[in-house]
Amino acid sequence: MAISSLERVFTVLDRKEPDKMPLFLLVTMHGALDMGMSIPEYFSKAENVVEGQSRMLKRYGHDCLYSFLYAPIEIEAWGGEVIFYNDGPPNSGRPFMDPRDIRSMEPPDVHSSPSLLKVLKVQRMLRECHGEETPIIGVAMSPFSLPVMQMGFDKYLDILLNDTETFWELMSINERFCIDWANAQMEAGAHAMIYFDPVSSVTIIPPELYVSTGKVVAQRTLKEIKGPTATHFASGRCLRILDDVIDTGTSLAGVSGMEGLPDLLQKNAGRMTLFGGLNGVTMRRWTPKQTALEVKRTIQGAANGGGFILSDNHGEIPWQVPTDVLHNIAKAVNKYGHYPIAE
Amino acid sequence: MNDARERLLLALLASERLKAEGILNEMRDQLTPNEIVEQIVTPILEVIGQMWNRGEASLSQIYMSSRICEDFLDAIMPTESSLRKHQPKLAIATLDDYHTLGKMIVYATVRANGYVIIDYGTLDAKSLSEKVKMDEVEVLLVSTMMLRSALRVRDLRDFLDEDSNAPFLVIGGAPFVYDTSLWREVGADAGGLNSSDAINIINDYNEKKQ
Repeated sequence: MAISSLERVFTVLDRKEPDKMPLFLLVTMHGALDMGMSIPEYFSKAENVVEGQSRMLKRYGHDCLYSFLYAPIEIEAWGGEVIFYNDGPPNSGRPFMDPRDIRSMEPPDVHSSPSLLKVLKVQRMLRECHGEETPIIGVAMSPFSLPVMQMGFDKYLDILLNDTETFWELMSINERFCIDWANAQMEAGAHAMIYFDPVSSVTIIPPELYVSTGKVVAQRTLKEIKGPTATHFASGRCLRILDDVIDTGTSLAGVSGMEGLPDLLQKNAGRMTLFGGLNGVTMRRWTPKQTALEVKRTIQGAANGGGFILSDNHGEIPWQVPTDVLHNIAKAVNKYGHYPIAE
Repeated sequence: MNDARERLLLALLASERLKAEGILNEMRDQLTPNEIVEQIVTPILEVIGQMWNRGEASLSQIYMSSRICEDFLDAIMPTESSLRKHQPKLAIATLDDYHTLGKMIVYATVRANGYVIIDYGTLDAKSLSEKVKMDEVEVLLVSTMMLRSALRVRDLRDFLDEDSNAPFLVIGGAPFVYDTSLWREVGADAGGLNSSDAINIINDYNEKKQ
């Protein structure tokens, strides 16, 4: 008997096998394509995003509504610049924060930012339209990773590695913002939050530095968020820090294609739900045969015992991925994703 | 010397600037500046780059290691020094993107290897091709972080090819790590997975040229 997407997802959060492996097609821009709009126009109104997400749900029959608009939307609330393109996600402009100002800084009020209010409106409307059938996924940038957009990677690394006092002051400010922002989204209608934390990945910092910094920030922040959280490393490696990630209290982790899924599953040992498995960058070129093969291989490798959601590795499917490929992914999940699944 | 190399590697991986500088200074008694580059800095940065490829080192370690070595080389081999490698004429830029860490790492690594290199900052394809033509750049290194910017390398290639002396185009950055055939698709002459690959590519280019 078919169950709702929400039930399916909650079943894998309990590390049990549902009727079918859940599929999260984390499409943020394809709704614009479907509606014949430019990307800047699409993101200008909450109503467009709600319509776009609803169309994606109907078209592909996947298992979530993604209320994430674009990564630097939080930066707009802080007064930073966002650059819009017609062929890719909006990107943060020049870094705007001077590390010398951190001590006198206050986080923005999430209910006073037009950009953030737009996201909350999307979540309210999605909840009204789709109720409890489909999980609505919100996104909050980790306080530990946000500084890359606030001040630029180099300045942030200089503080992180050389100026402990300033680093922790900044974390304190960013944590307040992240907690308020995540909880506002939960209140507006999100069922779960993705906590994007690429800087914590082993790709960016060594595990021992994560333990004394990003992990501490995550522990302090996640416990204040009123709902399940999924820590996403945006394609960054996390195998070597998996035990510490579990310690932060997160419910899920988004894993990288740079690491073998069997190794990740073995180390995780069913302690947390994992999601990912599909390479969003190469996906652009996948033939129907290759798509079926990639999906089948990932499903068969990760199905045992539940606890896995099929998704892209990065947390956002690139604009350049053709809709045919998305169709073929959904089709392959329907073909190969029904439990019981042979390994 | 092997012991000093090992100590330097550990100091760089721990981002211990003073310790690393101390070890490098010890070597000055035994080696010329060029020998320090060729026998110490180049191989150690390459080891760290290979560790990153295997998931055993992080970008922050590569960044700090290259910065420490770059600063040391600057002290013993200033940019205007005749000891610096002025050929081939090199330039680097981030294409249409303010994610500049990758470019900074490669820039520092190239300089830590004794080369002179122009930093154009962040530019679009057209502006970058004009600068490159004006400065008669021979090898152009381009860094991108977003897939959209990576695909813009195709436009850059087309602009560069309008000139008969188009530079050797080397690209790197996250999209090229996740899709190892992308550099060919966008028309680059070579692609690197880490900053030390850039050095190997430049050295190979030099050897072939001679």
